[in-house]
Amino acid sequence: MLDSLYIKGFKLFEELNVPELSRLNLFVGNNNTGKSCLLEAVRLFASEASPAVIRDVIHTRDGDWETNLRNRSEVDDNYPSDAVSPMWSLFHDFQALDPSLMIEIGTGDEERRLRLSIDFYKRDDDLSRWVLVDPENDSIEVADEMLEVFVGFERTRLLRLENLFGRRGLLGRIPSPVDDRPKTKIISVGTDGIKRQEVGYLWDRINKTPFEDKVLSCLRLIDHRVEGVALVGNSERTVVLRLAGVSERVPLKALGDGMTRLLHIGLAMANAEDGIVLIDEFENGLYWGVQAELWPVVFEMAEAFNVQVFATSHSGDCIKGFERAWEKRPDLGAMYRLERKGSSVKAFSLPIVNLSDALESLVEVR
Amino acid sequence: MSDRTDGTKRFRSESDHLLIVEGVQDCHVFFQIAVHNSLENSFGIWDGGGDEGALKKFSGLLAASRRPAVLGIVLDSDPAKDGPNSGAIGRWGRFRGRLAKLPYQLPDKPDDGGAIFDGPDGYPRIGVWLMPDNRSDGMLEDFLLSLIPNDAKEFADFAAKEAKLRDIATFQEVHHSKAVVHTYLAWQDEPGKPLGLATRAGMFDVKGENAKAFVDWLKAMFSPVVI
Repeated sequence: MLDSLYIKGFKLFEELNVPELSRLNLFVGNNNTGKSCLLEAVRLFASEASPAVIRDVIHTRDGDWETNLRNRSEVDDNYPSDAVSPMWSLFHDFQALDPSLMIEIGTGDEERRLRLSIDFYKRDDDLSRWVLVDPENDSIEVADEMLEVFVGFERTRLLRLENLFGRRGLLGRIPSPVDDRPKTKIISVGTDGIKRQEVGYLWDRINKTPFEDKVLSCLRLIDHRVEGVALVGNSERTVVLRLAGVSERVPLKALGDGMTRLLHIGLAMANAEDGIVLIDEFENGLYWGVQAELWPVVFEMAEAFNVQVFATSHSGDCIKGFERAWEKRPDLGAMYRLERKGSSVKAFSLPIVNLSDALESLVEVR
Repeated sequence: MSDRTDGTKRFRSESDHLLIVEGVQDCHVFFQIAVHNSLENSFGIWDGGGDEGALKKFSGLLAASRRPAVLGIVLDSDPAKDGPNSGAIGRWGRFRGRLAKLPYQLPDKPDDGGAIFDGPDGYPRIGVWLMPDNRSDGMLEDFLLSLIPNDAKEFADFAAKEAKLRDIATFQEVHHSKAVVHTYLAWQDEPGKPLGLATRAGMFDVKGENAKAFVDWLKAMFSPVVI
Protein backbone atom coordinates (compact mmCIF):
# COMPACT_ATOMS: atom_id res chain seq x y z
CA MET A 1 0.00 0.00 0.00
CA LEU A 2 1.27 3.46 -0.81
CA ASP A 3 1.50 5.50 2.38
CA SER A 4 2.10 8.78 0.55
CA LEU A 5 2.44 10.09 -2.96
CA TYR A 6 5.11 12.22 -4.53
CA ILE A 7 4.99 13.28 -8.18
CA LYS A 8 7.47 15.52 -9.91
CA GLY A 9 7.80 16.66 -13.49
CA PHE A 10 4.83 14.62 -14.69
CA LYS A 11 2.18 16.26 -16.86
CA LEU A 12 0.37 18.92 -14.78
CA PHE A 13 2.52 18.32 -11.75
CA GLU A 14 5.59 20.40 -11.27
CA GLU A 15 5.87 18.89 -7.81
CA LEU A 16 2.99 17.33 -5.92
CA ASN A 17 3.09 16.06 -2.36
CA VAL A 18 0.30 13.98 -0.90
CA PRO A 19 1.73 13.41 2.56
CA GLU A 20 -0.69 10.77 3.79
CA LEU A 21 -2.64 8.16 1.93
CA SER A 22 -5.08 5.68 3.33
CA ARG A 23 -6.81 2.56 2.06
CA LEU A 24 -9.46 4.57 0.22
CA ASN A 25 -8.41 7.88 -1.23
CA LEU A 26 -10.73 10.34 -2.90
CA PHE A 27 -9.43 13.21 -5.00
CA VAL A 28 -11.63 16.13 -6.01
CA GLY A 29 -10.89 19.41 -7.73
CA ASN A 30 -11.61 21.71 -10.60
CA ASN A 31 -11.11 20.69 -14.23
CA ASN A 32 -7.52 20.50 -15.34
CA THR A 33 -6.10 20.22 -11.84
CA GLY A 34 -4.72 16.77 -12.57
CA LYS A 35 -7.09 14.27 -10.98
CA SER A 36 -6.81 11.83 -13.87
CA CYS A 37 -3.08 12.56 -14.21
CA LEU A 38 -2.68 11.49 -10.61
CA LEU A 39 -4.32 8.14 -11.38
CA GLU A 40 -2.05 7.74 -14.41
CA ALA A 41 0.96 8.45 -12.26
CA VAL A 42 -0.10 5.73 -9.82
CA ARG A 43 -0.49 3.32 -12.76
CA LEU A 44 2.98 4.09 -14.02
CA PHE A 45 4.45 3.70 -10.56
CA ALA A 46 2.70 0.46 -9.71
CA SER A 47 3.59 -1.07 -13.07
CA GLU A 48 7.17 0.16 -12.80
CA ALA A 49 6.59 1.89 -16.10
CA SER A 50 5.64 -1.19 -18.07
CA PRO A 51 5.63 -0.42 -21.79
CA ALA A 52 1.98 -1.44 -22.08
CA VAL A 53 0.98 1.04 -19.40
CA ILE A 54 3.15 3.79 -20.87
CA ARG A 55 1.54 3.29 -24.25
CA ASP A 56 -1.96 3.17 -22.82
CA VAL A 57 -1.47 6.28 -20.68
CA ILE A 58 -0.17 8.18 -23.70
CA HIS A 59 -2.76 6.85 -26.13
CA THR A 60 -5.74 7.60 -23.85
CA ARG A 61 -4.82 11.28 -23.99
CA ASP A 62 -3.96 11.31 -27.71
CA GLY A 63 -0.31 11.93 -26.86
CA ASP A 64 0.57 9.82 -29.90
CA TRP A 65 -1.62 11.69 -32.35
CA GLU A 66 1.25 12.99 -34.42
CA THR A 67 2.99 9.67 -34.72
CA ASN A 68 -0.25 8.00 -35.72
CA LEU A 69 -1.14 10.70 -38.19
CA ARG A 70 2.20 10.46 -39.95
CA ASN A 71 2.39 6.73 -39.84
CA ARG A 72 -0.97 6.37 -41.48
CA SER A 73 0.02 8.67 -44.30
CA GLU A 74 1.65 7.15 -47.40
CA VAL A 75 2.90 10.60 -48.35
CA ASP A 76 4.97 10.81 -45.19
CA ASP A 77 7.26 8.08 -46.51
CA ASN A 78 8.70 10.70 -48.85
CA TYR A 79 9.74 13.00 -46.01
CA PRO A 80 12.28 12.68 -43.26
CA SER A 81 10.65 11.93 -39.93
CA ASP A 82 10.37 14.89 -37.65
CA ALA A 83 7.52 13.68 -35.45
CA VAL A 84 8.10 14.36 -31.80
CA SER A 85 8.16 11.23 -29.68
CA PRO A 86 4.87 10.64 -27.87
CA MET A 87 6.95 10.36 -24.68
CA TRP A 88 6.94 14.11 -24.79
CA SER A 89 3.36 14.24 -23.58
CA LEU A 90 4.25 12.73 -20.21
CA PHE A 91 6.63 15.46 -19.16
CA HIS A 92 5.54 18.50 -17.21
CA ASP A 93 4.29 21.59 -18.95
CA PHE A 94 4.81 20.39 -22.52
CA GLN A 95 8.55 20.91 -22.37
CA ALA A 96 10.66 19.64 -25.25
CA LEU A 97 12.29 16.31 -24.46
CA ASP A 98 15.63 16.87 -22.87
CA PRO A 99 17.97 14.57 -20.94
CA SER A 100 17.89 16.99 -18.02
CA LEU A 101 14.17 16.37 -17.45
CA MET A 102 13.06 13.71 -15.05
CA ILE A 103 9.72 12.35 -14.00
CA GLU A 104 9.56 11.10 -10.43
CA ILE A 105 6.61 9.15 -9.09
CA GLY A 106 6.49 7.38 -5.77
CA THR A 107 6.19 7.97 -2.07
CA GLY A 108 7.76 10.41 0.38
CA ASP A 109 10.60 7.92 0.65
CA GLU A 110 13.13 8.66 -2.11
CA GLU A 111 13.99 4.98 -2.38
CA ARG A 112 10.39 4.18 -3.25
CA ARG A 113 10.22 6.20 -6.41
CA LEU A 114 10.05 5.50 -10.08
CA ARG A 115 12.22 7.78 -12.16
CA LEU A 116 11.89 8.29 -15.90
CA SER A 117 14.21 10.22 -18.13
CA ILE A 118 15.26 10.29 -21.74
CA ASP A 119 18.82 9.98 -22.93
CA PHE A 120 20.87 8.92 -25.93
CA TYR A 121 22.57 5.54 -25.87
CA LYS A 122 24.73 3.63 -28.32
CA ARG A 123 25.40 -0.05 -28.63
CA ASP A 124 28.84 -1.08 -27.49
CA ASP A 125 29.41 -4.39 -29.21
CA ASP A 126 32.59 -5.17 -27.30
CA LEU A 127 30.80 -4.90 -23.99
CA SER A 128 27.58 -6.12 -25.61
CA ARG A 129 25.53 -3.55 -23.81
CA TRP A 130 24.16 -0.07 -24.26
CA VAL A 131 26.27 2.84 -23.09
CA LEU A 132 25.45 6.53 -22.75
CA VAL A 133 26.47 8.66 -25.68
CA ASP A 134 29.22 11.13 -24.92
CA PRO A 135 28.03 14.33 -26.59
CA GLU A 136 31.64 15.58 -26.87
CA ASN A 137 32.98 12.68 -28.88
CA ASP A 138 30.10 10.67 -30.28
CA SER A 139 27.98 11.51 -33.25
CA ILE A 140 24.28 11.68 -32.46
CA GLU A 141 23.72 9.71 -35.67
CA VAL A 142 24.81 6.50 -34.00
CA ALA A 143 22.64 7.08 -31.01
CA ASP A 144 19.27 5.71 -30.02
CA GLU A 145 16.86 7.74 -27.94
CA MET A 146 16.03 5.70 -24.90
CA LEU A 147 13.65 5.91 -21.99
CA GLU A 148 15.57 5.19 -18.82
CA VAL A 149 13.52 3.64 -16.04
CA PHE A 150 14.85 3.70 -12.50
CA VAL A 151 13.27 2.08 -9.49
CA GLY A 152 14.70 3.85 -6.50
CA PHE A 153 18.09 4.80 -7.85
CA GLU A 154 18.69 1.60 -9.76
CA ARG A 155 18.16 1.51 -13.50
CA THR A 156 15.83 -1.33 -14.27
CA ARG A 157 14.83 -0.73 -17.87
CA LEU A 158 16.08 0.88 -21.01
CA LEU A 159 13.41 1.21 -23.65
CA ARG A 160 14.22 2.40 -27.14
CA LEU A 161 11.59 4.99 -27.96
CA GLU A 162 11.43 3.78 -31.53
CA ASN A 163 10.48 0.32 -30.30
CA LEU A 164 8.12 1.64 -27.69
CA PHE A 165 6.05 3.51 -30.23
CA GLY A 166 7.07 1.64 -33.35
CA ARG A 167 7.28 2.71 -36.94
CA ARG A 168 3.52 2.53 -36.99
CA GLY A 169 3.01 4.17 -33.65
CA LEU A 170 0.80 2.67 -31.03
CA LEU A 171 -1.40 1.11 -33.63
CA GLY A 172 1.32 -1.28 -34.63
CA ARG A 173 2.34 -4.45 -32.93
CA ILE A 174 5.41 -3.77 -30.89
CA PRO A 175 7.68 -6.64 -30.08
CA SER A 176 8.94 -6.05 -26.59
CA PRO A 177 11.91 -7.82 -25.08
CA VAL A 178 10.64 -7.27 -21.58
CA ASP A 179 7.69 -8.61 -19.66
CA ASP A 180 5.00 -5.98 -20.17
CA ARG A 181 2.90 -7.03 -17.27
CA PRO A 182 2.67 -4.73 -14.26
CA LYS A 183 4.37 -5.90 -11.08
CA THR A 184 1.48 -4.89 -8.85
CA LYS A 185 -2.11 -5.83 -9.59
CA ILE A 186 -3.61 -2.58 -10.74
CA ILE A 187 -7.03 -2.23 -12.29
CA SER A 188 -8.27 0.94 -13.84
CA VAL A 189 -11.93 1.87 -14.09
CA GLY A 190 -11.91 4.83 -16.47
CA THR A 191 -14.53 7.51 -16.88
CA ASP A 192 -16.28 5.20 -19.34
CA GLY A 193 -15.52 2.03 -17.44
CA ILE A 194 -13.44 -1.02 -18.29
CA LYS A 195 -12.82 -2.17 -21.85
CA ARG A 196 -15.11 -4.90 -23.07
CA GLN A 197 -12.38 -7.52 -23.58
CA GLU A 198 -11.01 -6.83 -20.13
CA VAL A 199 -14.43 -7.23 -18.54
CA GLY A 200 -14.55 -10.80 -19.91
CA TYR A 201 -11.09 -11.53 -18.60
CA LEU A 202 -11.84 -10.12 -15.14
CA TRP A 203 -15.11 -12.01 -14.96
CA ASP A 204 -13.48 -15.31 -15.89
CA ARG A 205 -10.91 -14.82 -13.14
CA ILE A 206 -13.53 -14.67 -10.40
CA ASN A 207 -16.34 -16.71 -11.92
CA LYS A 208 -17.57 -19.32 -9.42
CA THR A 209 -15.23 -18.06 -6.72
CA PRO A 210 -16.35 -16.37 -3.49
CA PHE A 211 -15.40 -13.06 -5.14
CA GLU A 212 -18.29 -13.52 -7.57
CA ASP A 213 -20.79 -13.10 -4.73
CA LYS A 214 -19.34 -9.70 -3.92
CA VAL A 215 -19.77 -8.55 -7.50
CA LEU A 216 -23.38 -9.75 -7.46
CA SER A 217 -24.00 -7.84 -4.23
CA CYS A 218 -22.79 -4.68 -6.01
CA LEU A 219 -25.29 -5.22 -8.81
CA ARG A 220 -28.08 -5.76 -6.28
CA LEU A 221 -27.61 -2.17 -5.07
CA ILE A 222 -29.59 -1.16 -8.13
CA ASP A 223 -31.64 -4.28 -8.83
CA HIS A 224 -32.17 -6.65 -5.94
CA ARG A 225 -33.47 -9.33 -8.31
CA VAL A 226 -30.01 -10.14 -9.68
CA GLU A 227 -29.33 -13.83 -9.12
CA GLY A 228 -26.57 -14.58 -11.57
CA VAL A 229 -24.29 -13.24 -14.27
CA ALA A 230 -23.03 -14.90 -17.44
CA LEU A 231 -20.82 -13.67 -20.24
CA VAL A 232 -21.89 -15.09 -23.57
CA GLY A 233 -20.43 -14.99 -27.06
CA ASN A 234 -16.91 -15.27 -28.35
CA SER A 235 -14.78 -12.19 -28.88
CA GLU A 236 -17.35 -9.51 -28.09
CA ARG A 237 -18.94 -11.10 -25.06
CA THR A 238 -22.23 -9.82 -23.77
CA VAL A 239 -23.07 -9.66 -20.08
CA VAL A 240 -26.46 -11.19 -19.34
CA LEU A 241 -28.23 -11.49 -16.03
CA ARG A 242 -30.63 -13.88 -14.43
CA LEU A 243 -33.26 -11.91 -12.51
CA ALA A 244 -35.60 -13.37 -9.93
CA GLY A 245 -39.08 -13.59 -11.36
CA VAL A 246 -37.97 -13.00 -14.96
CA SER A 247 -37.93 -16.04 -17.22
CA GLU A 248 -35.73 -14.58 -19.96
CA ARG A 249 -32.09 -13.69 -19.45
CA VAL A 250 -31.67 -9.93 -19.50
CA PRO A 251 -28.67 -8.12 -21.00
CA LEU A 252 -26.90 -5.97 -18.42
CA LYS A 253 -27.03 -2.97 -20.70
CA ALA A 254 -30.83 -3.13 -20.76
CA LEU A 255 -30.79 -2.18 -17.10
CA GLY A 256 -29.06 1.17 -17.58
CA ASP A 257 -25.58 2.64 -17.36
CA GLY A 258 -25.52 2.45 -13.59
CA MET A 259 -25.56 -1.37 -13.66
CA THR A 260 -22.56 -1.43 -15.99
CA ARG A 261 -20.71 0.97 -13.70
CA LEU A 262 -21.48 -1.22 -10.69
CA LEU A 263 -20.26 -4.31 -12.53
CA HIS A 264 -17.02 -2.59 -13.49
CA ILE A 265 -16.30 -1.25 -10.02
CA GLY A 266 -17.25 -4.57 -8.44
CA LEU A 267 -15.11 -6.54 -10.89
CA ALA A 268 -12.14 -4.25 -10.35
CA MET A 269 -12.35 -4.59 -6.57
CA ALA A 270 -12.87 -8.35 -6.66
CA ASN A 271 -9.89 -8.84 -8.97
CA ALA A 272 -7.36 -6.57 -7.33
CA GLU A 273 -6.52 -8.55 -4.20
CA ASP A 274 -3.38 -7.07 -2.60
CA GLY A 275 -3.28 -4.47 -5.37
CA ILE A 276 -4.64 -1.14 -6.46
CA VAL A 277 -7.92 0.00 -8.02
CA LEU A 278 -8.20 3.34 -9.79
CA ILE A 279 -11.67 4.78 -10.38
CA ASP A 280 -11.89 7.92 -12.48
CA GLU A 281 -15.09 9.89 -11.89
CA PHE A 282 -16.60 7.41 -9.48
CA GLU A 283 -20.11 8.79 -9.90
CA ASN A 284 -20.45 8.23 -13.65
CA GLY A 285 -23.81 6.71 -14.47
CA LEU A 286 -24.79 6.31 -10.84
CA TYR A 287 -27.86 7.74 -9.13
CA TRP A 288 -26.91 9.69 -6.01
CA GLY A 289 -28.60 7.22 -3.68
CA VAL A 290 -26.68 4.36 -5.27
CA GLN A 291 -23.39 6.21 -4.73
CA ALA A 292 -24.21 6.50 -1.05
CA GLU A 293 -24.82 2.75 -0.89
CA LEU A 294 -21.88 1.78 -3.07
CA TRP A 295 -19.19 3.48 -1.01
CA PRO A 296 -19.68 1.30 2.09
CA VAL A 297 -19.48 -1.78 -0.15
CA VAL A 298 -16.26 -0.50 -1.73
CA PHE A 299 -14.86 0.20 1.75
CA GLU A 300 -15.75 -3.31 2.83
CA MET A 301 -14.24 -4.94 -0.27
CA ALA A 302 -11.09 -2.83 -0.03
CA GLU A 303 -10.51 -4.02 3.49
CA ALA A 304 -11.47 -7.63 2.85
CA PHE A 305 -9.29 -7.97 -0.27
CA ASN A 306 -6.46 -5.70 0.85
CA VAL A 307 -6.99 -3.31 -2.03
CA GLN A 308 -5.95 0.32 -2.07
CA VAL A 309 -8.40 2.57 -3.92
CA PHE A 310 -7.71 5.88 -5.65
CA ALA A 311 -10.87 7.56 -6.89
CA THR A 312 -11.68 10.94 -8.38
CA SER A 313 -14.96 12.80 -8.37
CA HIS A 314 -16.73 15.99 -9.36
CA SER A 315 -19.90 15.07 -7.58
CA GLY A 316 -21.22 16.37 -4.30
CA ASP A 317 -23.26 13.19 -3.92
CA CYS A 318 -20.18 11.06 -4.34
CA ILE A 319 -18.37 13.11 -1.71
CA LYS A 320 -21.30 12.78 0.67
CA GLY A 321 -21.43 9.03 0.16
CA PHE A 322 -17.69 8.78 0.71
CA GLU A 323 -17.91 10.92 3.84
CA ARG A 324 -20.62 8.76 5.36
CA ALA A 325 -18.67 5.58 4.77
CA TRP A 326 -15.44 7.20 5.94
CA GLU A 327 -17.01 8.58 9.11
CA LYS A 328 -17.86 5.04 10.14
CA ARG A 329 -14.30 3.91 9.40
CA PRO A 330 -12.10 6.93 10.11
CA ASP A 331 -8.95 4.82 9.82
CA LEU A 332 -9.68 3.80 6.22
CA GLY A 333 -10.11 7.04 4.30
CA ALA A 334 -8.32 10.12 3.04
CA MET A 335 -9.49 12.94 0.85
CA TYR A 336 -7.69 15.65 -1.03
CA ARG A 337 -8.64 18.48 -3.31
CA LEU A 338 -6.19 19.26 -6.10
CA GLU A 339 -5.90 23.02 -6.32
CA ARG A 340 -4.16 25.03 -8.93
CA LYS A 341 -2.24 28.14 -7.97
CA GLY A 342 -0.58 29.76 -10.93
CA SER A 343 1.23 27.01 -12.80
CA SER A 344 1.53 24.64 -9.87
CA VAL A 345 -0.96 22.19 -8.44
CA LYS A 346 -1.16 21.35 -4.76
CA ALA A 347 -2.99 18.66 -2.82
CA PHE A 348 -5.13 20.21 -0.12
CA SER A 349 -6.10 17.83 2.65
CA LEU A 350 -9.73 17.51 3.79
CA PRO A 351 -9.74 15.85 7.21
CA ILE A 352 -12.93 13.96 8.02
CA VAL A 353 -13.99 16.31 10.83
CA ASN A 354 -13.72 19.39 8.63
CA LEU A 355 -15.31 17.61 5.67
CA SER A 356 -18.29 16.55 7.80
CA ASP A 357 -18.64 20.07 9.19
CA ALA A 358 -18.48 21.53 5.68
CA LEU A 359 -21.16 19.20 4.34
CA GLU A 360 -23.38 19.86 7.32
CA SER A 361 -23.05 23.63 7.04
CA LEU A 362 -23.47 23.59 3.25
CA VAL A 363 -19.93 24.76 2.52
CA GLU A 364 -18.84 23.86 -1.01
CA VAL A 365 -15.99 21.37 -1.00
CA ARG A 366 -15.93 20.21 -4.62
CA MET B 1 -20.64 43.70 6.03
CA SER B 2 -24.38 43.74 6.07
CA ASP B 3 -25.78 46.91 7.56
CA ARG B 4 -29.18 45.48 8.30
CA THR B 5 -29.73 45.95 11.97
CA ASP B 6 -33.50 45.66 11.86
CA GLY B 7 -33.42 41.90 12.28
CA THR B 8 -35.16 41.19 8.99
CA LYS B 9 -32.10 39.77 7.31
CA ARG B 10 -29.69 37.23 8.64
CA PHE B 11 -26.02 38.00 8.64
CA ARG B 12 -24.64 35.80 5.87
CA SER B 13 -21.64 37.66 4.53
CA GLU B 14 -19.62 36.15 1.68
CA SER B 15 -16.64 38.34 2.52
CA ASP B 16 -13.23 36.73 2.46
CA HIS B 17 -12.55 38.46 5.77
CA LEU B 18 -15.18 36.74 7.84
CA LEU B 19 -16.17 36.75 11.50
CA ILE B 20 -18.39 33.86 12.57
CA VAL B 21 -20.50 34.36 15.67
CA GLU B 22 -23.03 32.32 17.61
CA GLY B 23 -26.25 34.20 17.06
CA VAL B 24 -28.12 37.10 15.57
CA GLN B 25 -27.72 39.22 18.71
CA ASP B 26 -23.94 38.78 18.55
CA CYS B 27 -24.01 39.86 14.88
CA HIS B 28 -25.67 43.15 15.76
CA VAL B 29 -23.41 43.85 18.72
CA PHE B 30 -20.15 43.11 16.86
CA PHE B 31 -21.29 45.08 13.87
CA GLN B 32 -21.92 48.10 16.10
CA ILE B 33 -18.59 47.64 17.87
CA ALA B 34 -16.97 47.64 14.42
CA VAL B 35 -18.83 50.81 13.44
CA HIS B 36 -17.77 52.65 16.61
CA ASN B 37 -14.17 51.71 15.91
CA SER B 38 -14.26 52.39 12.15
CA LEU B 39 -13.83 48.72 11.33
CA GLU B 40 -17.15 48.13 9.61
CA ASN B 41 -15.53 47.74 6.20
CA SER B 42 -12.82 45.39 7.42
CA PHE B 43 -14.83 42.22 7.72
CA GLY B 44 -18.17 40.52 7.16
CA ILE B 45 -20.23 38.66 9.73
CA TRP B 46 -21.82 35.22 9.58
CA ASP B 47 -24.53 34.11 11.96
CA GLY B 48 -23.71 30.54 12.97
CA GLY B 49 -27.12 29.98 14.53
CA GLY B 50 -25.76 28.58 17.79
CA ASP B 51 -22.38 27.56 19.17
CA GLU B 52 -22.29 24.23 17.37
CA GLY B 53 -23.38 25.81 14.09
CA ALA B 54 -20.72 28.51 14.37
CA LEU B 55 -18.00 25.98 15.09
CA LYS B 56 -19.10 23.76 12.21
CA LYS B 57 -19.19 26.65 9.78
CA PHE B 58 -15.72 27.71 10.88
CA SER B 59 -14.36 24.19 10.64
CA GLY B 60 -16.11 23.52 7.32
CA LEU B 61 -14.76 26.69 5.73
CA LEU B 62 -11.25 25.42 6.41
CA ALA B 63 -12.04 22.57 4.01
CA ALA B 64 -13.86 24.70 1.44
CA SER B 65 -12.87 24.99 -2.19
CA ARG B 66 -13.11 28.77 -1.75
CA ARG B 67 -11.61 29.63 1.59
CA PRO B 68 -11.67 33.07 3.18
CA ALA B 69 -8.35 34.87 3.57
CA VAL B 70 -9.12 35.59 7.21
CA LEU B 71 -11.50 33.60 9.35
CA GLY B 72 -12.38 34.57 12.90
CA ILE B 73 -14.81 33.14 15.38
CA VAL B 74 -16.26 34.45 18.63
CA LEU B 75 -17.58 31.80 20.99
CA ASP B 76 -19.16 32.08 24.42
CA SER B 77 -17.37 30.30 27.23
CA ASP B 78 -20.78 29.30 28.29
CA PRO B 79 -20.90 27.60 31.69
CA ALA B 80 -24.50 26.59 31.03
CA LYS B 81 -23.68 23.09 29.93
CA ASP B 82 -21.78 21.41 32.68
CA GLY B 83 -19.07 18.96 31.80
CA PRO B 84 -15.74 19.05 30.10
CA ASN B 85 -16.97 21.15 27.18
CA SER B 86 -18.13 24.14 29.16
CA GLY B 87 -16.16 27.19 30.19
CA ALA B 88 -13.19 28.79 28.46
CA ILE B 89 -10.85 25.81 28.74
CA GLY B 90 -13.45 23.34 27.52
CA ARG B 91 -14.41 25.59 24.64
CA TRP B 92 -10.79 26.00 23.67
CA GLY B 93 -10.44 22.23 23.65
CA ARG B 94 -13.41 21.85 21.31
CA PHE B 95 -12.04 24.55 19.04
CA ARG B 96 -8.64 22.85 18.92
CA GLY B 97 -10.23 19.50 18.15
CA ARG B 98 -11.66 20.93 14.93
CA LEU B 99 -8.15 21.89 13.83
CA ALA B 100 -6.32 18.77 14.97
CA LYS B 101 -5.62 17.53 11.44
CA LEU B 102 -4.86 20.92 9.94
CA PRO B 103 -1.43 22.51 9.84
CA TYR B 104 -1.95 25.16 12.53
CA GLN B 105 0.20 25.20 15.66
CA LEU B 106 -2.22 25.77 18.53
CA PRO B 107 -1.16 26.02 22.17
CA ASP B 108 -2.87 24.13 25.00
CA LYS B 109 -4.51 27.22 26.43
CA PRO B 110 -6.23 30.22 24.87
CA ASP B 111 -4.34 33.48 24.61
CA ASP B 112 -5.59 36.25 26.93
CA GLY B 113 -5.51 38.75 24.09
CA GLY B 114 -7.43 36.46 21.74
CA ALA B 115 -5.69 33.91 19.54
CA ILE B 116 -4.54 34.61 15.98
CA PHE B 117 -2.68 32.14 13.78
CA ASP B 118 -1.36 32.68 10.30
CA GLY B 119 -2.02 29.67 8.15
CA PRO B 120 0.58 27.99 5.99
CA ASP B 121 0.31 28.38 2.23
CA GLY B 122 -3.29 28.06 1.09
CA TYR B 123 -4.80 28.22 4.56
CA PRO B 124 -6.51 31.31 5.97
CA ARG B 125 -5.34 33.36 8.91
CA ILE B 126 -7.58 32.25 11.76
CA GLY B 127 -8.49 33.67 15.11
CA VAL B 128 -10.70 32.87 18.06
CA TRP B 129 -12.04 34.99 20.89
CA LEU B 130 -13.70 33.25 23.81
CA MET B 131 -16.24 35.52 25.47
CA PRO B 132 -15.89 37.33 27.73
CA ASP B 133 -12.10 37.57 28.07
CA ASN B 134 -10.54 34.25 26.95
CA ARG B 135 -10.12 33.22 30.61
CA SER B 136 -13.37 33.42 32.52
CA ASP B 137 -16.48 31.39 31.95
CA GLY B 138 -19.18 33.60 30.54
CA MET B 139 -20.79 34.97 27.44
CA LEU B 140 -21.45 38.08 25.39
CA GLU B 141 -23.42 39.68 28.24
CA ASP B 142 -20.50 39.31 30.64
CA PHE B 143 -18.34 41.14 28.14
CA LEU B 144 -20.92 43.92 27.75
CA LEU B 145 -21.20 44.26 31.52
CA SER B 146 -17.50 45.10 31.63
CA LEU B 147 -18.31 48.05 29.36
CA ILE B 148 -20.75 49.86 31.65
CA PRO B 149 -19.95 52.11 34.62
CA ASN B 150 -19.13 50.19 37.79
CA ASP B 151 -21.81 51.74 39.97
CA ALA B 152 -24.46 51.02 37.35
CA LYS B 153 -23.24 47.44 37.11
CA GLU B 154 -23.24 47.00 40.89
CA PHE B 155 -26.73 48.36 41.22
CA ALA B 156 -28.15 46.29 38.35
CA ASP B 157 -26.45 43.22 39.83
CA PHE B 158 -27.96 43.99 43.21
CA ALA B 159 -31.40 44.44 41.65
CA ALA B 160 -31.23 41.09 39.87
CA LYS B 161 -30.08 39.32 43.03
CA GLU B 162 -32.71 41.03 45.14
CA ALA B 163 -35.43 40.02 42.68
CA LYS B 164 -34.29 36.41 43.06
CA LEU B 165 -34.34 36.72 46.85
CA ARG B 166 -37.86 38.09 46.79
CA ASP B 167 -38.87 35.22 44.57
CA ILE B 168 -40.17 37.51 41.85
CA ALA B 169 -37.52 36.49 39.28
CA THR B 170 -37.69 33.31 37.20
CA PHE B 171 -34.41 33.48 35.24
CA GLN B 172 -31.95 30.61 35.59
CA GLU B 173 -28.79 31.31 37.51
CA VAL B 174 -26.64 30.67 34.39
CA HIS B 175 -28.40 33.64 32.81
CA HIS B 176 -27.55 35.99 35.64
CA SER B 177 -25.41 38.28 33.47
CA LYS B 178 -28.19 38.49 30.87
CA ALA B 179 -30.60 39.58 33.60
CA VAL B 180 -28.13 42.18 34.86
CA VAL B 181 -27.48 43.65 31.38
CA HIS B 182 -31.15 43.96 30.62
CA THR B 183 -31.82 45.44 34.05
CA TYR B 184 -29.26 48.11 33.22
CA LEU B 185 -30.79 48.67 29.78
CA ALA B 186 -34.20 49.11 31.40
CA TRP B 187 -33.15 52.50 32.77
CA GLN B 188 -31.46 53.89 29.67
CA ASP B 189 -33.03 56.22 27.16
CA GLU B 190 -34.92 54.59 25.57
CA PRO B 191 -35.52 51.79 28.04
CA GLY B 192 -35.33 48.19 26.90
CA LYS B 193 -33.33 48.46 23.71
CA PRO B 194 -32.00 45.14 22.40
CA LEU B 195 -28.22 44.66 22.72
CA GLY B 196 -27.31 45.69 19.17
CA LEU B 197 -29.30 48.91 19.23
CA ALA B 198 -28.07 49.65 22.74
CA THR B 199 -24.50 49.27 21.49
CA ARG B 200 -25.27 51.57 18.59
CA ALA B 201 -26.77 54.12 21.01
CA GLY B 202 -23.56 54.13 23.03
CA MET B 203 -24.92 52.42 26.12
CA PHE B 204 -21.76 50.30 26.26
CA ASP B 205 -18.33 51.88 26.15
CA VAL B 206 -17.01 49.99 23.15
CA LYS B 207 -14.21 52.49 22.53
CA GLY B 208 -12.81 52.51 26.05
CA GLU B 209 -10.13 50.66 27.95
CA ASN B 210 -12.20 47.57 28.74
CA ALA B 211 -13.13 46.94 25.11
CA LYS B 212 -9.58 47.58 23.91
CA ALA B 213 -8.32 43.98 24.01
CA PHE B 214 -11.25 42.76 21.91
CA VAL B 215 -11.05 45.66 19.46
CA ASP B 216 -7.29 45.17 19.15
CA TRP B 217 -7.91 41.51 18.38
CA LEU B 218 -10.38 42.48 15.62
CA LYS B 219 -7.89 44.97 14.20
CA ALA B 220 -5.01 42.51 14.28
CA MET B 221 -7.12 39.79 12.72
CA PHE B 222 -8.57 41.76 9.87
CA SER B 223 -5.61 43.88 8.95
CA PRO B 224 -4.73 43.28 5.30
CA VAL B 225 -3.30 39.85 4.58
CA VAL B 226 -0.52 39.50 2.07
CA ILE B 227 -1.37 36.54 -0.12
